[in-house]
Amino acid sequence: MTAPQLQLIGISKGFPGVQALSDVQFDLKAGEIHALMGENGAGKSTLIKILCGAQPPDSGQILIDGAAVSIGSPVVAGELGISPVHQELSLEPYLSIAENIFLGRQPVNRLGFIDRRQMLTAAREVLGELGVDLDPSAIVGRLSIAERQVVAIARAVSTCARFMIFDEPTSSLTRRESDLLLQMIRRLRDQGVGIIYISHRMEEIFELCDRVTVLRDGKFVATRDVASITLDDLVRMIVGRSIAAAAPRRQTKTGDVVLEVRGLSKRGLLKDISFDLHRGEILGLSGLVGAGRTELARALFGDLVPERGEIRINGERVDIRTPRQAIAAGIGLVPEDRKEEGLVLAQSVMANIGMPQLNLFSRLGVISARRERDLAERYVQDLAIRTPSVDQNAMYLSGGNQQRVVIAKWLATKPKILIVDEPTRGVDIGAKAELHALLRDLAADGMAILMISSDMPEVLAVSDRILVMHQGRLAGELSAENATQEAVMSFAMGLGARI
Amino acid sequence: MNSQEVDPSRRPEGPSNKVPPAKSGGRRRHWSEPLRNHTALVLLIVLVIAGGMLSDVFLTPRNLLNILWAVSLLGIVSLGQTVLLLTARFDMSVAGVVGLAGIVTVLAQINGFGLFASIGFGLGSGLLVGLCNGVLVLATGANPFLVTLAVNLLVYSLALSLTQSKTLYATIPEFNLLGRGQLFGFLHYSVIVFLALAAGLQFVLRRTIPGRTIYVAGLNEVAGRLSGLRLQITKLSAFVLCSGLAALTGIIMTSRLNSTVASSGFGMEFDSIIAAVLGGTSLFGGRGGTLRTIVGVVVLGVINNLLVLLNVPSEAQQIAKGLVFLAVVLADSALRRS
Repeated sequence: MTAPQLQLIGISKGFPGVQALSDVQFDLKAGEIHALMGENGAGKSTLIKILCGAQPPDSGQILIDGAAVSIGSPVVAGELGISPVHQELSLEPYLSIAENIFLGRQPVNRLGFIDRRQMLTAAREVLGELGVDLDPSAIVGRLSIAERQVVAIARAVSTCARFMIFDEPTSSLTRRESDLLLQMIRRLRDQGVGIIYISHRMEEIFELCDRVTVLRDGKFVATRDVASITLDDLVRMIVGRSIAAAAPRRQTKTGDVVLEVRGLSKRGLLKDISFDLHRGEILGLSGLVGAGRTELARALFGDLVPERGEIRINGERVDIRTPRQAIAAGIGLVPEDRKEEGLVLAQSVMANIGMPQLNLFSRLGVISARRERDLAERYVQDLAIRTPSVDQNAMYLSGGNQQRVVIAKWLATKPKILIVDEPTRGVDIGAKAELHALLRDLAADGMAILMISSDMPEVLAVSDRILVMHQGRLAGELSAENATQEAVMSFAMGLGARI
Repeated sequence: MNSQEVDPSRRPEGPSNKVPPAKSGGRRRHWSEPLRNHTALVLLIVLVIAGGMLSDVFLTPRNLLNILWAVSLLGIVSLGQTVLLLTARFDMSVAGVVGLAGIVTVLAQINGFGLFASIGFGLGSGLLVGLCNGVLVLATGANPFLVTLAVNLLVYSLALSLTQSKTLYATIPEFNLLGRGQLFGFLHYSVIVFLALAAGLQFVLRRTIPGRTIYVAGLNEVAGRLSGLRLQITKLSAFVLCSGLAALTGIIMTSRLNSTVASSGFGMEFDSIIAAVLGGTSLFGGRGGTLRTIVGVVVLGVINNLLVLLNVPSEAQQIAKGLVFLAVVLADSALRRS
């Protein structure tokens, strides 16, 4: 293979109180996809920031084509051909696709005005190169997350980037969308672009990448050819120990029916949904994005009022029209987006845990600070939430710990039913396994859990039973024993029990 | 993302998670909160020291009490504004309400109602305006700034037409006591009302469910809603409280002067926001408190007082206020970004 075109040697970077990177090396060749892996906090993001000129390293060298360069700013990085495709997409929602692609570099006519026609043509060309069929005049705010990602990629491609960085590009995508994206990335590689690929999804690494570099606690662990290692090797490199293989599912002995849903409908979103949820059961809810899974969760939780249908809890019909009533009826919801919906980031862990049931430790509306603290401290300990104290603002916690805080706040309400929507999105592999174990423990203690997830291995590994939604309907039900990825996908795509 | 990378709480200790509770300042947050954002307090101390050097009169107890007395009315309005600001909303109609409440009170007296009834009418007019503000803003989702600005115009016009643009005089002699009376012969009732309200509201904000809900309304309404907090009714109450306190101010002001005009609250809509933000309450909601607002209004009062003592022309007084406010707004934005 060719010599490395981009080389990082002995990179170190410290922040007050923590050494984010120490003596890390990395290299990237033209036409390769190089995975960068490590748990949250391993130093991946810091390394990428250094590469993109967002932060200077404390020491170390960056070479491009063998010559030392200094990447003082994102602009310089762009000039050197380094282009990040951001995780938190930095697109302008009110502008068109074409305008976003050429933002700041719009083609102009002789009078110095933006040449709209030329811009649209050029945009169409770039999109065509990527093999997607999108109208370049469409407004970005109306696109799906997957489509926005395509726009971000198109922007990078249009700058003739030599090195592209993908940070968790598939974390919010469905399987099918991910496949399209991966195809696009392969195409870029074949055109000679060097690609750094960050993802927590193991199967993608093996499917897509040529080499992998692992960081742990800010230190370089190893660079390997993906073909020469096994999944176990990789996991061991990342966490520095082996994770017990997903614990064999306990013999499903689920109890009485806790939740009965009959004929739940809401125009355009939910069509005649009926199912039962048992005590001690983890019921997986799968389906493509937009199939109505989140809407179903919202309807059960009173945040979306259905037009028809009834809900029974322990055999009694309940009328749930607000989240407040849902909480009183014994339902908890761990929402899809923990930062926007689950937590008040600027408040303490304690305030977040206490939020759904302040009246429990209040008298005449006055909150007992001591009881709120006791409750929070108990759950921080029970769920092993890593935080210096319950007074720490939730924003300073890692993703996995933030998710634990959201779960803690619902456990504290002692719910009969816990709905979890994408419980492990964006958390690292170690934390993910711990969250799965936590869900299993809760179910073993008798909690009825409805788990929505786009992460297929997660659905298969954790659920006792799987429901699949397609276009607002329940398209199929699978027991844990018969469930395969193919069977679930077949239902999710509306093909029925074909396989 | 970076905050995760440098998060010191996530140390590589394997499965162990027994991180000892840090001896950080976190635990002592509640009482030190008003001091956390030191800018206004530092500004106040600097001003007081400068004032003492520049003027012989400034540091006399009589003058300091005078400053408190002068700012107490704006102060009460600012407390309501502070609560609303915490929910990331504004009330631009407080100026109109100050005028209206005074006029309604005096008109009630002219029409033969007793002392308490007339005050009740005055307060009621304010509460009603607050209810309108709240319902309009919350039901339509319209911009609170613009809605209350429009309501301010309406309220002011109503006040003008009620008085036919004349000055009205209170008819009940005891009414005077509220605005001019002093405890122990030196502490004005309005100052006591202001400080007591500030302390009481701080308690409500920090220690009660509605108070907690106010902060969540300003920080993350979705999370609050999904946690079952009563956001709508709490936000509505904040609007009603804000207008109610403006009405109280109008009544005390009328009592102090024994007369009132429709424009008596002129400028208070902006001054109250300036005072609240100066004290350290964020324009973007969720950060601040009413104790801070005491510092904010006192800073404004000290600046005014000093400029008067030093015989600075009134145009320059406005310039000083404008510059102080600009500095504070810029500091607030910078703080929010960091």
